[in-house]
Amino acid sequence: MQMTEKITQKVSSNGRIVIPKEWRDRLAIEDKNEVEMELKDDKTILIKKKTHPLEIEDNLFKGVAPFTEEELDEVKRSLFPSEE
Amino acid sequence: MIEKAVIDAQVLFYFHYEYQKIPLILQQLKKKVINGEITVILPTIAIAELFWKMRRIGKTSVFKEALNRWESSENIIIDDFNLEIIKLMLKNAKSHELHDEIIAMTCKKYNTDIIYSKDKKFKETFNLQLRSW
Repeated sequence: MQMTEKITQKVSSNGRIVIPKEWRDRLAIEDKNEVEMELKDDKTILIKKKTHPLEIEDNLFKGVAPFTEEELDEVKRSLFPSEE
Repeated sequence: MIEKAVIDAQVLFYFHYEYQKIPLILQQLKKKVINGEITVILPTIAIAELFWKMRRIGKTSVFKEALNRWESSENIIIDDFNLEIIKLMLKNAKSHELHDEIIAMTCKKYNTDIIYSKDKKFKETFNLQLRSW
């Protein structure tokens, strides 16, 4: 079951609001990170942490060994076979 | 101005490797890309090298997913090898290994002399700032 937490915030100059520190910590939102904002018809503003594709920590290449020197030489020869 | 750097196939590989095993300098680079503190340029030749590696071990679908992520990432530019690189190569009097020269000229194309790689030739031959591990 999804939980929803609610708070009330005062809007300060230029429409600024603060994301509570506890929420920032929980979502690992740091300085210079970006958030996406959506305005909905029902007067709701949804703020989402923007996730960069490189942030997806699913170890996509897990189990694959990094390039060896031999592999790097081999792939170069594969690209330009006549070069020696 | 945001820093720019070219990266090679090894660096590209480490972007999706087990985080704890990624060399520190590349962990930092990855974080800087995520935070928008640097733009990295991926030469298509480096992408082709990684594709060669992944396809021969039957990991094409994993490579495809990685490619989708690079294409949709901010602060990552995929550079197509084109005539502009050839024109930059024309300025080099000496003959070089084509692979290295194309990558080095990609730096020139983007007005940066920073390259993340383990290959010392980029510094020794092309006078680039090598960021290695």
